[in-house]
Amino acid sequence: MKKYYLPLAALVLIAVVWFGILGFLGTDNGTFHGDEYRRPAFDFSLTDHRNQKFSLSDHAGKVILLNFGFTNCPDVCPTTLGMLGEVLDIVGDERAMALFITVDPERDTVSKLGAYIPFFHDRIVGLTGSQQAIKEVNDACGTLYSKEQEVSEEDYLVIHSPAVYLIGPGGEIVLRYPKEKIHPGKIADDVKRLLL
Amino acid sequence: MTMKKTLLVFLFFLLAAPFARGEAGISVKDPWVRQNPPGTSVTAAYMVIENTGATADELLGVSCGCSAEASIHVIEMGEDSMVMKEVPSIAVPPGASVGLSPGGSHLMLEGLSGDIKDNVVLELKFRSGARISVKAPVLSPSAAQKRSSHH
Ligand SMILES: [Cu+2]
Repeated sequence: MKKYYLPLAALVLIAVVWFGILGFLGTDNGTFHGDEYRRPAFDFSLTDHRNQKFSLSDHAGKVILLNFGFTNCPDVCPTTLGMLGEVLDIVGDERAMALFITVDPERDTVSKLGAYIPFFHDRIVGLTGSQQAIKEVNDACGTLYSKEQEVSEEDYLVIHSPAVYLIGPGGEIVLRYPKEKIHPGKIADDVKRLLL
Repeated sequence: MTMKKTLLVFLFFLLAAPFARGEAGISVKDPWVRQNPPGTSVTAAYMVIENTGATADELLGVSCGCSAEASIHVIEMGEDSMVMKEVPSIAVPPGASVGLSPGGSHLMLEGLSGDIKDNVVLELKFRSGARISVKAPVLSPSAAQKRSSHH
C-alpha cells in the first residue's frame, strides 16, 4: 500500500505545476487590456515642446504612450491628454512617459506646444517637426490623418485617429488602444506590466 | 365685473399650465466646461439634458458670453478616425436624458475671449420655447478626469 504514495504524490505535484504554468500563461497573455499590435522597433527624431531634439531611441528602456492630435482640437485631444496624465499619475514611475505628436505641424509650432503641453502633465512630451517627419511616424504606427475641408487658412480641423499606442522598453509598439478600450486604470496596468 | 376678470385670469393660467409644464420638463444636470489649455481659444461644454415632460423636445442652440461662437457637435467614428460634425439640433425625447460627454456629443465654444476659469454661463434654447441658463464650472484636466471617470 505504502508504495503507491510516491507515484501519487508525484502525480499531484505534476498536476500542480502543470496548472500553475497554465495559469501563469493564461494571466500573462490575457491581462493586457489593449489590442496586441506587434510592430518592429522603430525610431524617429522630432523637436519637443522645450525646443530640444527628441529621438525615440534615446529613451530605450522606458514605456511610452503615444498619441496623435493637434492643439486646436476642442474635445478629443484634451480628453486623451487628461487621460494620459492620469495614467502617468497612477503608474508613478519615472520610466513611463507619454508623447503627443501633432498632426498639424504648420500651426503647432514649438512655442505653441510649449504653452499647451505642460498644462496637462510634466511627463507628457509634445512633438512637432516637418510634414514629412510627422507622416513617417504616422506611417510607422499605421495611422492616417487628413486636413478637414478648410474654412480658411487659419481655421480648419485635422481628422485623425483617437487611438493610443504603447511602446515597450525595446522601442517596439506592443499595444494599441482603440477609443472604446481607452481607460486610464487599465492602460496603467499594462504600463506597469511592461515595466516589470 | 371684477369677478369676471378674476375668472378670466384664472382661466388663462389654467390653459397656460400645460405649456408651462412642458417647459419645466427640460432640465440640465452636471454641466461643466473644459478649461482651455494656454494658447488655445476653443473648448467644449458637457452636461446631461433631461426631459421629464410628455412631449419631445430638441436642443436648438447654445450661446455663451465667454465665446464668439457656440455650436452643437456630434462625433462620428470613421474606420480609425473621429470626426466632429456640427448639427442643427439634438433631440431630447420624452422621458429620456441625453448626455453630452468627452469624446461624444458636445457644445463647442470657439473664439474664447480669454482663458476661462471658475464658472461660465451657458444659455440653451429649446424647440419647446424653453430657455435654460446654466452656470457651468470650468474644470482643469485632472478635475475633468475625475468627473468623467465617475460617470
Ligand atoms: Cu466640436
